[in-house]
Amino acid sequence: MSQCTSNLWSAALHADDLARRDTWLHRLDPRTHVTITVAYLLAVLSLPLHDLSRLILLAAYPIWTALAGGVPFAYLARRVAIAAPWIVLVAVSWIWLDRRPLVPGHPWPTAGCLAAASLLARLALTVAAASLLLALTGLSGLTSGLLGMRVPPLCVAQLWILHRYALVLSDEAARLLRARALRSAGRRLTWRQAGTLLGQLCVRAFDRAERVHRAMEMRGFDGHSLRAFEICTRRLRATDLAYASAMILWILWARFGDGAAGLGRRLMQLAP
Amino acid sequence: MHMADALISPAVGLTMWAVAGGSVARAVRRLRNETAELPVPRMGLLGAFVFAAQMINFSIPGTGSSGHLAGGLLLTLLLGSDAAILVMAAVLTIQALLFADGGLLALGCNIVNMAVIPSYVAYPLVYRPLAAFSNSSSARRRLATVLAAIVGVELGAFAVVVETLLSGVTPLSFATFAALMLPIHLAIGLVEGIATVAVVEWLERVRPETVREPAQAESRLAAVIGLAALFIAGILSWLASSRPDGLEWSLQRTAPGWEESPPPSKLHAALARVQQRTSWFPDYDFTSPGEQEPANETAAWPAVSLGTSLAGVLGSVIVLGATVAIGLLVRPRSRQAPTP
Amino acid sequence: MNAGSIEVVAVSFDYPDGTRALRDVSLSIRAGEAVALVGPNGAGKTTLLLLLTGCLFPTSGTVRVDGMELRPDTCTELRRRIGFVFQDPDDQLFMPTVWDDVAFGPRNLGYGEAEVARRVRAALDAVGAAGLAERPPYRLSVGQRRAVSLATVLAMEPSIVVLDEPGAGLDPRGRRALARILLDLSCTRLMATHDLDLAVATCRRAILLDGGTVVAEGPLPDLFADEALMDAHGLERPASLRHH
Repeated sequence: MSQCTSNLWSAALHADDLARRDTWLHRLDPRTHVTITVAYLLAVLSLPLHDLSRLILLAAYPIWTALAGGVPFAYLARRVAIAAPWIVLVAVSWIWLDRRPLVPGHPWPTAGCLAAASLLARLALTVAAASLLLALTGLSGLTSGLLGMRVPPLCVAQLWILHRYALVLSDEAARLLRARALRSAGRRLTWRQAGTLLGQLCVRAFDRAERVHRAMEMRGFDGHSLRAFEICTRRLRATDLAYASAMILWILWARFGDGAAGLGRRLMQLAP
Repeated sequence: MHMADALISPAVGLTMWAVAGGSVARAVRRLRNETAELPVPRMGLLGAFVFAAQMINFSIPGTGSSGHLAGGLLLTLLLGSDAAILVMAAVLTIQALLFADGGLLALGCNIVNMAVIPSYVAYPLVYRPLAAFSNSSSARRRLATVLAAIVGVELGAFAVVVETLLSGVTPLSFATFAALMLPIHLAIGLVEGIATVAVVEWLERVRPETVREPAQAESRLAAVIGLAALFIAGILSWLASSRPDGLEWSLQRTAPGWEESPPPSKLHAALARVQQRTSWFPDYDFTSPGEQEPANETAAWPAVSLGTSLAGVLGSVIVLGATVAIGLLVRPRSRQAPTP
Repeated sequence: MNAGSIEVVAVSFDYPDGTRALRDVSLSIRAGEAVALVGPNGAGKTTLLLLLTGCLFPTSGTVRVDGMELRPDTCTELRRRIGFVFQDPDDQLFMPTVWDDVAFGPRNLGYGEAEVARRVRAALDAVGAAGLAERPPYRLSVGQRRAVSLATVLAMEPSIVVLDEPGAGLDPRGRRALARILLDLSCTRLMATHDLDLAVATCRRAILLDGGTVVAEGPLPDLFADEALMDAHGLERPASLRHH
């Protein structure tokens, strides 16, 4: 594993470490976090594109969760940066294509700027929420939570085995690539070479699948019963329900309520 | 081709989740009913292979750019379409969760675009009929593979275009967006096809026993139903879209001389009023670029009140500040992960 | 009661491509014994282990476990009594956490969660890995992975444990820890290994395999002290026996 130097993997493994922390948020059932995250994503994404104000308000959720769960903002920022390029492109296209003034008589800022800012905010909030979900539950917690939500065990078994061996095979791919790079004097892979390389990797995958299958058989796996994959150890408790309802009520308030704007209006009246 | 959450609307996201969920459920049911022994490790390991294979970038002949294997068609050729859908869905889920590559609400879209389309549409409708007549001719099978890959990738890209436009988050028109996406994905599909051929032929040479046509009763009907479902999903999400005029608006945008004011339709004005009630900049008509100050609408759209908008921002910032303060209070002390 | 005895009678094995891997191999292992299987690369050690665990079946001859012949129809039953620790722990640890991995076998056998938990705890204690239960396997060191692979097998409570190169990739400290664990087991142990020091530290008897046949067998460490024999089969006297 140490040989895999990929940036992506180190971010993923970081999430793994974070998920093993022991805060009261981590002790909640994974299903609680899944439910809240879905509600939050729907709230953020159902906002009209130009509603920047409510997006600012909704930012309170990831900030709160990150602080309470001890999730460093650097982790969230890194994940947002990974997901950013394509959306930045769309944001730029907004600025480029929509130059109508927001306020009549003032050429700047344009409507495109507002859309772009709002898109980037949507990006940051949605990626942060998804990353927090992973950091609070971990992949194994999350997937066993999925079993409790009626996801077929065959799918969960897929996720586990895939996750378990993605890193192993990535390492093998990295080794194959390095071995080739040492002999290729910096030339890029042609598709023929790539075919061979991919073929070798695929053969290794088949061989390992054979050995893993044997190891499973030796421990009672009959190829049909997925009993050993159907593990849902946790039960929903009152605290789970309480926290989920509180968060969902807050999300509804932030999405549809008028409280924050009212507060702002009152403050502006106080100002001279 | 991985879509992010930020670029889709809930209506599109949920509809595609329904399509993806239905396809996965169908695949699970068929596998459990028709397979004597579930190839659980083989499916998992081939998923891991697709995952690792995406690290390997190679140059695309004649273009100077590079690409990598997406894997949907290869998995279908090696495992059959039902298992391939499950494996691809797992790959996409892991990519979304671990690498923020594609969003959670957008996962349904991604599963449809990159798993359901190659396995349930391109494979039975393109590969099977073409390869069926060629028991021996490998040239013909190569052609079938490459064409199926291209069709799969192009349909996937087309789905991305439609899903994005229906979500109403891009200023690009349908025509422009499609004109950007489809030619690029023609090249990508070609690479996908060539890489798939290369891997399958390598496997046939060194491990002939691994490459055999998956013997399953592939119903052409499923593909047709799949296509129909996509179509209906598209219509439904178009109707349910939070920006119901998304397509109309983007088409209008690219019509010649869109900067001039087109005559506003009754429907358009009504929709704009709905829009205005839900939008934060209520005075700003987001939907009709040419109608900033149409005299007959002024009454319906109040003059700009920057004050209202600023109040919203101010209030939000205050709530945010309070949240940070409480969060800092309850924050766990040690920042280190426990090391058992 | 002699649970854990193995008898191999005149076994030959050809791979499907025609390669003859084993020729007329006979050996017997008593219940509770610890035996090392040594020999150069390609001697047929791994093939023999796969035959003993019912992953392969002999072309001719018979393998008997506890007096029962190992055949495709009996192997499901006999596999409960034989645990196989693979050479690469990554092949054996496929679940998201150590606990679930060790629990995989007992859960497949249909035990309730209480019994599963008891077995998992006992197995992890036996290999000194009780503190690793919640960790994912890919965050473990090679030595820890090896210990946990052994635990996954022990949780099945087998009467025979077969190990393929248990010492591979371990540093001296890891090897000493492994040797201690293996010495403490009471079941029958058979290990294929190149690591003759580990063999001397953990086994009372060794079987030397070369070219698909048994060329020598005898008590340890005396067998390895025979320099002519060792040289003839490409082996070296272990360091621990060299300065006499």
